[in-house]
Amino acid sequence: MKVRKWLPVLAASFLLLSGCSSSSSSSSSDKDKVEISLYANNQGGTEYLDYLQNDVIKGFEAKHPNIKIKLVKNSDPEGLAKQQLAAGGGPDVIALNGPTSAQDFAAANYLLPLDEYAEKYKWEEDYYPWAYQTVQNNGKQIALPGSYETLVVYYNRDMFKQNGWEVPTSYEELEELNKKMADKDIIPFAFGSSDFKAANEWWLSVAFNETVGADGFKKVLTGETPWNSPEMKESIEKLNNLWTKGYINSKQSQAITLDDATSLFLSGKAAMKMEGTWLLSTFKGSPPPFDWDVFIMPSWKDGVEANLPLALGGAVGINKNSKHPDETAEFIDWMHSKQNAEKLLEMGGFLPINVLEAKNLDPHVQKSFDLLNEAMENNQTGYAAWTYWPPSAETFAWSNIESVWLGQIDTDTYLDKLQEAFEEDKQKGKLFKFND
Amino acid sequence: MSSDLVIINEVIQIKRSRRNWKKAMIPWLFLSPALFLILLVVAGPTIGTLILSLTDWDGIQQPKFIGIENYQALLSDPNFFAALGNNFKWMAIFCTVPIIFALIIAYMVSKVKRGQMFYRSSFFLPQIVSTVVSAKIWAWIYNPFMGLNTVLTKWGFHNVPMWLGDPAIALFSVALVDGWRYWGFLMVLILTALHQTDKSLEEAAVVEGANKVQIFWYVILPQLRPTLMLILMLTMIWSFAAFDYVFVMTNGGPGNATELISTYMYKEALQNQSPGYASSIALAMAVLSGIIIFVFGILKKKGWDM
Repeated sequence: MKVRKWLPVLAASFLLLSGCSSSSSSSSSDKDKVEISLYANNQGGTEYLDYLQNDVIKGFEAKHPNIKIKLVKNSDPEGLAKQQLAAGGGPDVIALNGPTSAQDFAAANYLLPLDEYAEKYKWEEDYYPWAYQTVQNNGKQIALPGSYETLVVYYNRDMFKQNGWEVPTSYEELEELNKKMADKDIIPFAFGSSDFKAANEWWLSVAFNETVGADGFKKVLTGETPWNSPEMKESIEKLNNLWTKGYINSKQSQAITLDDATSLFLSGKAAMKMEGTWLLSTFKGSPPPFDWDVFIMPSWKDGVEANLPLALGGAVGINKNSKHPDETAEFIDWMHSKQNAEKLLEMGGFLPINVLEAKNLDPHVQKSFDLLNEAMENNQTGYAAWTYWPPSAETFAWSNIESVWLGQIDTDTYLDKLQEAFEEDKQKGKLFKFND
Repeated sequence: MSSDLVIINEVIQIKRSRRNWKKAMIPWLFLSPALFLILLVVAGPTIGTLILSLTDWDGIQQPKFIGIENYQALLSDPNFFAALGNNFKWMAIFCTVPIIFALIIAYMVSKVKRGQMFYRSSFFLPQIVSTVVSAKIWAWIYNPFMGLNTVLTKWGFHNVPMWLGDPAIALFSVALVDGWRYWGFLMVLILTALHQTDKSLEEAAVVEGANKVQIFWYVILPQLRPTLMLILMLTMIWSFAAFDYVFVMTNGGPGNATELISTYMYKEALQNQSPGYASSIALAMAVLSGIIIFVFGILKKKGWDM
């Protein structure tokens, strides 16, 4: 009777002891393991996170049983890391939004200089020089470049064939095509930004690069030509013309989200969608129910060559306070290894790595990859906002263009204020450092 | 003998003062954990914000002391004043429409003899739906390509309003959604107050020949004044803190038509990399809320029932 009474207590004690012993045994085996933390979001789609977890992390852990990679999913990895770094913490691998962020983080002394590792892993030989140089600061390598991307026009090829429409080769042709579409109650360009106003900068990137030209726009970014020059005004007026005529989502881009806009394109209510190459992975995961293709936005001005605004969609660095910098360097080297870069390429993500073998690629991914490479070879690349524009000017540009479209401010005021924001950036030394 | 008495008296007084001191300390002792928490989570961040507002901190570099430059910039910032204007519009809407609506419905529900709980629960229901969820649902309803407008167009209505796309009405469209959630909460507060009114006064008014409107206006409404004043004060303070619906549904757009101080502060802090400047906006918000509390405090001192 007495034994029965004490049985639950004994059982609980046993469980507690066994629990303790098992945990102590596991902790002893974990003791030798090195843990490296990495933050990531799903902006590249769930496919990207799956790739990160299953291919990159599992592949690395299989090769290095003594290293464990802890992936933390967060909507703003850079923001979270920034807060933690200010308090002396932060993850080992710092996922950055791009070269501008990398420069800021380096200036704040948050990043470990990577020159020693760059030499060890021969990174300079692996990367495209233009991409590799964007993440250097005062001659030191501060990060590794992430995927590069550009803005293209996705279009419903079935709809184009049925209506006898051709891919436009000039601004006039583009306008004419848009008019034909609008006359048929078809939205020419699906576009929404109510949930992500920064998307407005995609249109701004296209407008400036295609009207002023890549070289001309570079002069604006270096401060040689002011943002409120007549050429820049022409860019905004041309963009404004498309918007006010309803060609960009029937003048309702401010009222719908990015996903809503994608739905309009997928449902055939819109004929085209101007977006980044990151959309390729989304369309690969859930393909549109029609034949589709991509084309480069035509030049918006006679005498200006059409170009692809180029951007680096991210960068990775190492936390200066990391307790395991060697292992972290090994991990980021693996992240961007040829093997992983090729897997990412299959999904439509382009790491700026030399000699990637593009085998059995989806035709759309292949075409976009070829377009990009061709443009890079022929120097036909422009400057996308999220990589090359200084922070205050960039934020002002995308957050206020709607006011121009809606007639709340005029083009001159918009550009004058944009110039003021640029001057502020210039004063703070935040202009992009072009490396000729 | 007399000196002994003096000593005894002194000892008694010391003991009494010690006892009084201990008595006075006991409430503070019980309050100390809460006070400590308040100091930690309210006073600490407030002081931190005040200090940050005097710097040019960009969220990453070492902050540099710039005195009152942020406040000077704030006073000449048209975006801040545009947002402040929207906050006042927001306040004007919320201090009238949902309160009047809740008052009328609460009065009607209070007269329901059977199934009152059903009405109370139904009207309160939007309050328990997550803000983000209801904001997303309403954004779909307002969507010009798949929401309410497609139905209205099918029914033959033309020139339907662009609820979130038209700068002239976007703020009101969002306020309607927030109001849809808010009025049920107000109704429950007013209903509770209605249940506590003196019924004999109503009966006396009936005997005197007053009609229903007169009873409501002259008998019931004055008894609801403390509740209504409290609601008014909370609504005014909350109007400055409004953020969620605007952030989810319009993100301050179109243009800056729905920008509120809170959304502007968020953008300055996290998108424009100016947490120092954003701190000065936060303190401006706190000062505005403080002014409201101060005004209501004066009204209370002047004898207003609250």
